[in-house]
Amino acid sequence: MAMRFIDEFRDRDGITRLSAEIARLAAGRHVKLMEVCGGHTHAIYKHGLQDLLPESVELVHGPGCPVCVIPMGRVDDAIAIARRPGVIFATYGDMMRVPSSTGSLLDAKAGGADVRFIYSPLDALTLARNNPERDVVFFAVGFETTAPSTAATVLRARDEGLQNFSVFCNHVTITPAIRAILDSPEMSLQGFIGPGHVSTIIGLEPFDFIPRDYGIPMVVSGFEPSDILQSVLMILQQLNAGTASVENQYSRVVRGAGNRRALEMLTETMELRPTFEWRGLGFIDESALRLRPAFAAFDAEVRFAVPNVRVTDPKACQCGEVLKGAIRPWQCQVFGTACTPEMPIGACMVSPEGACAAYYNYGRYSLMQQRAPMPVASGAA
Amino acid sequence: MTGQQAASAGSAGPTAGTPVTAVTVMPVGNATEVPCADSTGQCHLCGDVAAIGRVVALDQEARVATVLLSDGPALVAMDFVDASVGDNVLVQLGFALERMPAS
Repeated sequence: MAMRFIDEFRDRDGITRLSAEIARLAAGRHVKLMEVCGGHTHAIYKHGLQDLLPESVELVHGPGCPVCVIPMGRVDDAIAIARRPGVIFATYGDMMRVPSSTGSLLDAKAGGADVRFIYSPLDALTLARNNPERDVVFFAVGFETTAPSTAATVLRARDEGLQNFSVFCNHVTITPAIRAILDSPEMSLQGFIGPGHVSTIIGLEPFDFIPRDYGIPMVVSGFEPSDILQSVLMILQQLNAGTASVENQYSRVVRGAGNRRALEMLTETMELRPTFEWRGLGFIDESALRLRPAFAAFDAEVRFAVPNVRVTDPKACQCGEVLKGAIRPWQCQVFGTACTPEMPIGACMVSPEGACAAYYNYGRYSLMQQRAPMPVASGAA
Repeated sequence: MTGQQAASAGSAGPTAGTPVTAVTVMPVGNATEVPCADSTGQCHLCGDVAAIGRVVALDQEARVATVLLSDGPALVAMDFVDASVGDNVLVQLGFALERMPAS
């Protein structure tokens, strides 16, 4: 059965044409492009898109996997909440296996903590309704795509008068991380493949600083193979023309101004934290969200004593460098050996959107066939 | 409960005035054994990934819709989007994020 919005973006002939046009425009130059979003990283590996690009077009992976950028200390904090008597700790599946300094939430669950998988923040609300004698805490992670869902859930909880529901808020915002990467002396980029669904919420304007302040183009992209290739092509067209702007390849979903109603709910319930720690990027000012004081009753960090643990990543783990695009997943010293999706050391190997897990699942075979480390600029994944 | 069973559980459509109780893009198994990933290994919930589905029933008062996704029907919150039956919407975390163009 044909799948509208999917099959039309996986057409072989169209993809072949895009690939040839990219090769033509990239001839004689080397460009390094960063895909910001973990969903793009996953799609690039899953569909083998790097193999359709010339060696002169290098894709590096950005910080857009929300599971991967949560520092270990916040997972320690989550476990501390989960272990409190009477608490039901509700979390997305990906966060269950992210290591902290004392194990994972899965380990905490095995040790008796009441940790439950959920598929939506509204499922946590259901848990609260069904367990009025328990405190239900929702582990909120994600960028601006997911933050409005948390905001709407908090508003629903308020409207229902639920008093046993709270949020351990770890939502982060994408633009400060992009600026931190652009300010990093070890990173030289010629363009960004912009986050499609984050842009559905925040629109295009928040990315204007990239061409304005750094002279680098960004193309907000969809997630199908032809979306991503067309976005690469649009970046190359800008580079060849000597221009830099924010363009919208994903116009079937992304509106220029974003989703006004979602942004209003976000603004009503949340505010920027003065600073927040990102795995691999360190502390970045005004890069994360917390509940406003008016919603303190729903803020787990207000309701419970959160230890605010600071943890240094394991020495062997190079998630930080991977998240900054400084190294490729297979260049990490423990990739595929001590660190695998079954036994992850770093968060990048946990989430399917993490660069290491995506590469492990879809790209490592071509690496094994070559039997030699790939040079960074090879473009073969 | 399998993903298909769970999805079917929400197929009757929303009832006016009732709180949302099941809002899911259901998993159907995956390569990495991540519970919230779908059959392609993608996690629809934790990251910047969403699925497109068609609205088959609406409850304006409860702000929910039954949306037919590739894995089956699911109850979806409509806090951010105005849509009608027959519209395609982009769904993430059990919320419709945007209405897709008609053509």
